[in-house]
Amino acid sequence: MTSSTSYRSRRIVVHVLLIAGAVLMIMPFLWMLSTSFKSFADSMKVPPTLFPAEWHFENYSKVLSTIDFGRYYVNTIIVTIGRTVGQLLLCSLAAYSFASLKFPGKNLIFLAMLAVLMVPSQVVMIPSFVIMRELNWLDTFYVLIIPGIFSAFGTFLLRQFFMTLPKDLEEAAKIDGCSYFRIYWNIYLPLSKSALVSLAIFTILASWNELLWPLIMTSSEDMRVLSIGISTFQGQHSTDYPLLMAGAVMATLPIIILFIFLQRYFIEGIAMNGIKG
Amino acid sequence: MRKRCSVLITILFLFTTVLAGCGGSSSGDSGGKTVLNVALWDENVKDTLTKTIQLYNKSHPDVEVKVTYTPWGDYWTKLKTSLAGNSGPDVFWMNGPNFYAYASNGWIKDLQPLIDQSKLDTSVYTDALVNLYSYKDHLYGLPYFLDAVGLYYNKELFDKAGIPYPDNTWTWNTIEENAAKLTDKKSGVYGYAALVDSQSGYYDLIHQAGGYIISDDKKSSGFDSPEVLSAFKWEQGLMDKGLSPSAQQQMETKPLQLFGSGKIAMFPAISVSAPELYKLLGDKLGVAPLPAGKKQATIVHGLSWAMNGKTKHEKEAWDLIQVLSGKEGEQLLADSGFSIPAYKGTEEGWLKSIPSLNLQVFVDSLKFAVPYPVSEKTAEWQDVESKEIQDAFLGKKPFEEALKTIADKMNKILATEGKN
Amino acid sequence: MNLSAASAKHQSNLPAQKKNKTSKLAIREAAWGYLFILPVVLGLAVFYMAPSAASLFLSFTTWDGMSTPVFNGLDNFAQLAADEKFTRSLLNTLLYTVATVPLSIAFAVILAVLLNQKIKGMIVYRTLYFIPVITMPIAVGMVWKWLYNSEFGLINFVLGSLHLPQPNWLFDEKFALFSIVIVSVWTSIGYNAVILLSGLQGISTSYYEAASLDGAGTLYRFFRITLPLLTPSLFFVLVMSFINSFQVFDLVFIMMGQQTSLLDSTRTVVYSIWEDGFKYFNMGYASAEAFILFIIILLITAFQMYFQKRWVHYQ
Repeated sequence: MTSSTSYRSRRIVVHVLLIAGAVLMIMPFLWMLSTSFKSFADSMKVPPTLFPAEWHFENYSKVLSTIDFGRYYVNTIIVTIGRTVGQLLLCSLAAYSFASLKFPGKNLIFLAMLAVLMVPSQVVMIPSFVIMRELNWLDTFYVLIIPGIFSAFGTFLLRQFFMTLPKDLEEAAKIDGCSYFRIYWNIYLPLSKSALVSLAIFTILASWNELLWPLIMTSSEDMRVLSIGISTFQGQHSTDYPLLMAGAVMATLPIIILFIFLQRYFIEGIAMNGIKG
Repeated sequence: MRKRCSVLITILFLFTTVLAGCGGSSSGDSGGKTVLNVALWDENVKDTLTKTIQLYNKSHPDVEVKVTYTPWGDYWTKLKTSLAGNSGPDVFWMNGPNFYAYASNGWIKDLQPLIDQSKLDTSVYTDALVNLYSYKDHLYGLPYFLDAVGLYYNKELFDKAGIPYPDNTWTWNTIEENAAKLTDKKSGVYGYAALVDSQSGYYDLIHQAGGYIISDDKKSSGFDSPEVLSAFKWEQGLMDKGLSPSAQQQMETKPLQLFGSGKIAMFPAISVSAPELYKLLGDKLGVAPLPAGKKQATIVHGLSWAMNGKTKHEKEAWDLIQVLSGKEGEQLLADSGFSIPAYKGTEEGWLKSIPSLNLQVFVDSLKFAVPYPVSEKTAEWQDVESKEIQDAFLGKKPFEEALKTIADKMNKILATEGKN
Repeated sequence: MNLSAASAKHQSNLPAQKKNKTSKLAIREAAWGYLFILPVVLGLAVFYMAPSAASLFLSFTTWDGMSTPVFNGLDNFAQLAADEKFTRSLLNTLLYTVATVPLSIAFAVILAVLLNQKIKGMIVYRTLYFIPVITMPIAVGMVWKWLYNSEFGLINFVLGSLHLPQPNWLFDEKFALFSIVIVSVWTSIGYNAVILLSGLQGISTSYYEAASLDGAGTLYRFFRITLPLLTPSLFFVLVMSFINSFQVFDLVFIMMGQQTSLLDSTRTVVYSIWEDGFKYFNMGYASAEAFILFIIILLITAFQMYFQKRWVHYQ
C-alpha cells in the first residue's frame, strides 16, 4: 500500500466518523427548524412528524409582528458587545498576570477567584438584586453589561493558554526593556488568537442566551433582550411551539454565522506565525 | 505602539471606574407623577389591560401605570426576588397555590379594611374565588378571572361510533360504558382520559366521589378516606381496561396532544384550554359538564389582583385594583375571550368568543364549584401528593398505601403551618 | 518586530545585571501583577463574592426570603445531616458527575483531534458539532424526550429492530439518571471540543515535523506529543467540568419536568436548593445546602490545582 492511498483511506474514515456524529448532533436543531414551519396543530401531532404537513413560512413574520424583535436584537447586541470586549480585555490582562508574573499569594487569589464559580446562582440572586438596587442599576444597561465583564471562567481559560506559550520570547522582550504591558499587548495577545476567539465565542453565547439575570434585573419592555422575548411564547397552559421555534431560529442564526466566521481563526494559530517552540 | 497602549488603558479605566462609578439612571417617580408598577405573566391580556388602564387614568391622570409581563416560567422567581429586594411591584397577579404563603406572611396587603372603607360589594364575585382568596375571613386579593373544568369531546369520534354527545345527565357509569364503545385499539383511539393530572383530573373526581382534599380549617388531609380511594380505583380501572391512556403514556405524551390529534374521545380540561383545543380540532370540538359521581363537582381556580404589603401608594393601588376587577374592567376581559371573568354577569363576551362551542356549560357548572385546595405550604404537600399518586399509577405501590402516606405526610406539613 | 534578534544581543550581559536588580525587579513585577488582576478581582468581589458572602451568612439563619432573617446557629446544618432528600441529591450529583465528566472529556478529545485535521469541509463539520451548544434547551429537551419515548422513540425502535432490550429510559430508576447523563454529555462535547481545539492550535507544528522526521506513527504522535501538550487545556476542561457538573440543574428540570415519581433518583443538589429556596420559601436552608456544595467543589478544585504538577505540562 502506497502512502497516498493510506492517506486517502484515513481521510475517508475521518469523514465517515464525522458525518455519523454530526447527524446526531444537529438533530435537535433540525427539529427546531422543522417545527418553526409547522402549523400549531401540526406541531402537537402524536406521534410527531418529521416534516411539516404544510410549510407555514408566515410563522416568521408572525413572530416579528407579535414581539418587538428588532428592539430586542439591538439590546442583545449592545449587551453582548459590551460584555465581550470588556471580558477579552480584562480577563486577558489578569490571565497574563496569573500565567507569567510572580507575586505573593498568587495561587490563593486564583483559587478564590475560581470559588466564584462554585456558588449556585440560585442563592446569590436576592443579594445580587439588592446590590444592583443600591447601585441604582436596575432596569438599565449597566446591570446587563457591567457584572458580565468580570469573568473567572475567562481568566482561567486564557491563563491556561498563556501558560503554554514559549517563555523565551518573553525573556527576550524583558531584556529589551519592554514593559509588562507591552509584553502582554505585543507578544501574548497576538499569539493567542485562537484562545481569544474561543473565549469570545463563549462570552457571546453566554450573554446571548442568558435568561434569568436579565429577566430579574430589568422590567421595562425597552430593556428586554432576545431570550426574554422568545420565552414569552411559553405560556402557563400552552406553548406556541412553531412561533417559539421560529423565534429561536431567528435568534440563533446570527450566532451560527458568527461562529462560521470566527472559527477560521482556529486554523490560524501559533503554527501559522512560524514561531518555533 | 505607545499610543495604542495608552488608548487601551483609557478604555480599561472607562470600563471599570467611570461606568461603575456614575451609576444608572434612577427609575421611580418620573416628572412628578406617581408611578404604579404592575406585574403579571400572560401577554394575552395586554390589550385588555391597556384599555383598562386608560379607563383608570381618566380618574387618575396623575398616575403612571407601568406594566411588566414576566413569562410564566420565571414569574414567581422574579416576584420573590424583587419583593425580597424591597423593590417589588405595587399590584400583581396572585394564584391559589401561592396565595396562603403570601397572605399569612404579610407579603400582600389585607384588602378587607380597604373593602370596608370603600363599601365594596364582594358578593358580585364567584363564591369559590372569594373563598380561595380569603385568609382568616379577610379578602387579600380581588378576583379577576377563573377557570372551571369541563368535559371536552371529539364530535367526529362520537358520530363515527353513533353515540349521542355527552350532556349534564352523564355519570361515571355512562362515561365508562361509552368509553368502551369509543375505544378503538387498532387505530390507537381511547374513549376517555383518566388523568394523572390533579386540577382537571383526580381533584374533581375526589369531590364527585364525596371526598375532599383538605379540610376547611386547613388542618387535616382528606386523602385517607374510602371516597378518595374510590376515585383513584375508578381511574385505574379505566386504564387497566385500556379505555384510557396509561399513566406512563400520559407522562410521556401530554393527553392534550393526544386529544388534539384525535386519539382521545373525551378529555376533561380547564376552560382556559378552550381556545387552544379549538385551534387543534376546530368545529369537531364539543364541551359538556363533568360527569357526576355521587354528586356533581368541578374544581374552580382563578387569579386575583394582590397588593404589595409594602407599597408606598396604597390608595392609588387600591383604586387601580378596583378598576381592574371592576365591572367595566371585567367586561373588557370577557370581550377579549381570554377567560371567564370573576365578576358574575359579565361573561357575555367570553361566551361568544368561540361561537361553535357551548361555553355556557362552564358558567352553569359554577353552581357546584369547589375551590382549588390550598394552604400555606401548598407546594410542599402537593409535591408529596404528586409523587405518591404517580408511583401508584405506575404500579410501584397500591393506592391504599400511597394515599395513607400522602395523608400522613400532609398532616405533618399542615401541623407546621401558621408558626411564623 | 524582531524580538529573537534582540534577545540574542542582550543574552550576553544578562548575568551581571541580574543580581543587583533582582529584588527591585521582583517588587516591580509583583506590583504590575497585582495591578493587572485588580480590575477582574475587584469586579468579582463586588458582583459575585459579596452576594456569596451574604448567602453564607444566610445559611446560619431561618429566612423565608422576605422577612428579616432570624439567626439560628447551626440548626440548618444539623437538619441537613438528617435530611434524606439532601443525602439523596448529593449522591445523585456525585453519580452524575462521575459519569459525565470522563465521558464528555474523552469524546471531546477525540472530536477535537478529528476536527483539527486539514481536510475539506472542516468548517462545516466544526459548525455542525458546535450546534448543540447553541440550540435552545427546550428544543434539546423535546427531541431527547422523543428519542427516549417508549412507544415511538427512535432509540427503542433501533434497539428493537436489533433484538436488543428496550429500556424504559426516563421511567426506570436504573436508567433515568443515566439518560440525563447521555444528554449532558451530548451537549458538552461540542463545548469542550472548542476549548481543546484552541489548545491544539497552540501546539507548534515543529514538534510534529521533528516527529515525522523520526518516522513516528499516528498513535505515537498522539500520545507522545498531542496529549502532553494538550494538558493545560485538558486541565481547564476538567476543572470546569467538575464545577459545572456539581451544579447541574436545568437539564434535570427539562428532562424530568412534571414527572415527580422518579425525582428521588434524579434530584441533584441544586435542584434541592431551588426547591427549598424558591418553592418552599426556606432561603436560609437552601443557602446552607449551597454552602455544603460549595465546600465540596472547592476541595475538589483545590485538590486538582495541587496535583496538576503531576500531569499538566506547561512550557
